[in-house]
Amino acid sequence: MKSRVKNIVISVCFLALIFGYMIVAIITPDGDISYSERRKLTQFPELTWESIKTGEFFQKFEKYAPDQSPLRESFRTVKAISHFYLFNQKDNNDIFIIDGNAYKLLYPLYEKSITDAGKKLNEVYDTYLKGMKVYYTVLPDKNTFIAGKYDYPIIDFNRVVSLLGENVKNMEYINLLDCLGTKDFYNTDPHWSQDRLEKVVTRLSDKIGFEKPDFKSFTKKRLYPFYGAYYGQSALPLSPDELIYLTNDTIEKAVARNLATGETFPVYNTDKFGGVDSYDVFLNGALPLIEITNENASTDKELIIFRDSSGSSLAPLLIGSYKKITLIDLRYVSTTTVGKYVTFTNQDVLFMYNLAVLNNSQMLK
Amino acid sequence: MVFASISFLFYFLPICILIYFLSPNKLKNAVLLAFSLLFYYFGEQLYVIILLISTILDYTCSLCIERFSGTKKADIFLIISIVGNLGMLGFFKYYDFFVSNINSFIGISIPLLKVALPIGISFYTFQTMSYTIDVYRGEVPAQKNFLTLFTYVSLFPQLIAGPIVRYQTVEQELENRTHSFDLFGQGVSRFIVGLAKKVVLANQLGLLVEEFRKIPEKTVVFYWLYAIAFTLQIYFDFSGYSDMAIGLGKIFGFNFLENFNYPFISKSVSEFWRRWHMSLGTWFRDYLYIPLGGNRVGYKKWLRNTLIVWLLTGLWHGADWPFVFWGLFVFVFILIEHTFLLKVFEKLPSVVSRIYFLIVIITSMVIFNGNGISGSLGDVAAMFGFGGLKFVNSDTIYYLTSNVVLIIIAVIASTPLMKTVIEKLKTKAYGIRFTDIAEPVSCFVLLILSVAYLVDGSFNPFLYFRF
Repeated sequence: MKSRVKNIVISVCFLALIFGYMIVAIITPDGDISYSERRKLTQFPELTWESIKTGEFFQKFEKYAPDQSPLRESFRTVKAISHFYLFNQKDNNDIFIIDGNAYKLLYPLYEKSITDAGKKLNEVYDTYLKGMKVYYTVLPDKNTFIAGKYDYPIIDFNRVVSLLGENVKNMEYINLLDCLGTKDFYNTDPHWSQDRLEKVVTRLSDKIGFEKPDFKSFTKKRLYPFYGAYYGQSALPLSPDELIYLTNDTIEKAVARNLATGETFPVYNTDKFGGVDSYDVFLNGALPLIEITNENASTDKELIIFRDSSGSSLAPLLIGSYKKITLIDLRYVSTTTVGKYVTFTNQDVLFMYNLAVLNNSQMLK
Repeated sequence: MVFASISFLFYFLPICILIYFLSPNKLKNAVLLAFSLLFYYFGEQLYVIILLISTILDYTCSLCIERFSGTKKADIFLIISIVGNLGMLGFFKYYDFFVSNINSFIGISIPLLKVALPIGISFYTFQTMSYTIDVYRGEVPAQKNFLTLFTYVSLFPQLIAGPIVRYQTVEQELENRTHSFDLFGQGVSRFIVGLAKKVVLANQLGLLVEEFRKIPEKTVVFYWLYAIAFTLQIYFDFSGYSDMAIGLGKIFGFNFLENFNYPFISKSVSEFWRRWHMSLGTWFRDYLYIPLGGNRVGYKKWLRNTLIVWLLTGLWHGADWPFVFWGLFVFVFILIEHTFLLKVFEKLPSVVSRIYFLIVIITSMVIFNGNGISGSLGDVAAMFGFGGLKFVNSDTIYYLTSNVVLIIIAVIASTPLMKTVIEKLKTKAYGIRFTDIAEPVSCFVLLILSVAYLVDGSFNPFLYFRF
């Protein structure tokens, strides 16, 4: 091939690619949501004289262009494959894979964040919980269970518990570490699988003193395919999980209510499956204040759980043992606001936050 | 706007190429000017006016310099041009630095301006100054057409991050340039190589640098890993951008001079600075160092000249003490080399000078990237085992093993190894056939890979953007 021919080939291919891409990008309708990344995609910015004059249009366009890229998911996969197999890097977007199981690097440990989390728990205690039976636990991330087995940097779980213990007052710690293992979590998601929580529920029952539910009474319902949060973030073709939820007559009859809006909904909302986050099947997903009522309960006991998203799958299993369970997510509601919606009397109280949340405790309001 | 972005690559560039090549030759400069101003406006709305003012100043001064050539009036117009350009640079880039230092030394509180630095001002003011100085020296005629000069000043391929293209380099091409598939194809290849250097290598190395800053338990080995990663990052970041600029220049019919020449194969700091950011080095040489007397003066004056050049090179990179300190650091080693070290190295195996050079240059980059002078000194101390740190730990091993292939690829890509291999292949018939196919395929693969990294990556800093 002569140099001229080679340069013509390069030129034509380049022009075809940049013009082809531009035309496809323009004629393809814009997407609203990236299901794999679980986020809204940037939309075409408003084109006004003002937005051009201030430069706002251009700034937004810089975000819009890659967000609405044609073949976006394929490009993300190309990058992930290059990252893992060309550069032999051990993680892509902080996600790493071991035996088809996706994990996320949470490292390093921010000790101040753990200390601040302890202070936050104390603040809640001093504001609402004085004299009440209060427990706290730290939910291990699934990579806690591979610490020492591989060379990935993993946060020292015991150090987190120790730091929190040094700062938290008037509460009793419940250790759940020995109730869980890697297999109790989804392969493509950071959450635990609800059908694997018998040991966790037993430990909580023993410590808090509520009646342990009979796991044989639950019926397993299966939803497939479940593409967890790490599936999209890894951008690799991982095998999807099966989302299993446990139900029985009590759970079916229980009513969940969004305390902020008054809206009621079933404990399991299967319409949410296949949405941005399929884990929203449990209690409609991330909401600041939820109350689950069991009108047929044989007890007047109530439970308050300060929790993150893992609490959404645990709470349904406990509703048979309580008349009411209130779930409070301090990531979405401030401590001072909670009192407007929740009355604190003599309920059992459990703080249950994941290691990842505690390590970024500035998100607790 | 930056070249390494989807908005540039797939929106701005195709529209610009389409309109440019559909336009008749007499309108091509106007099209380039319009797109260059749009390119600049994309990132700097108000400061397009600064570009215009700078061009009006140098257009007027250069015409007057030519008109009054050989008289004192020409001197005056040259001084007006230089003071005007340096005044703009000083106002935007150095005012707050000097005032804050005066405030702290004297204990007063002159208010700071806190204005944003116009993107690329350090590059285009140096270009326009070189133009008027060259007109004054009679090396180029003054440009009579204002639009042509404005096109030169604002030419988007080199506007915001160089290379510093002198007017005399593109004088003929501004008036009459040829376009061909040959030049276009060469430009595309060069652009894609630069894009990949920036997006695939520099950005990934930058992520390692970011991780280093986040990890609390650092070690001596991690400091060295960071130092090597940052040194390579800044090289691929800047040389990648220069490659893209040179490639875009070719696409539109311009031939810019090279800005990098495999600087890491140098054997001394002096040689490194003849291979790194060559357009800045030659600018200081031709418009400052030689007019001061260069090296054809006594030792003391040479010392003074070199010191001035390096202090100003440091300040050019940033209005802050670490950059001044960095300039001084480089000056000290150039001084040592000039005084005796180069002669010593002549008698030793070249591996000795290479090891010396790499240690000094990596250390200088750590100083360059330090957080204040004390931060820079702390980083350097830690590298050499004076930080009371462990030699290595499990975190370091993770980041080392996770990035070792990236570092090896980056090191190989920073040397002329690939170029040498290709040139050797081209001496054989089968080699020519192979490279003829491999080059377009490589370009296409690198482009797809770069786009993949741009689409997925949010980490896309550009280190020389604000210089």
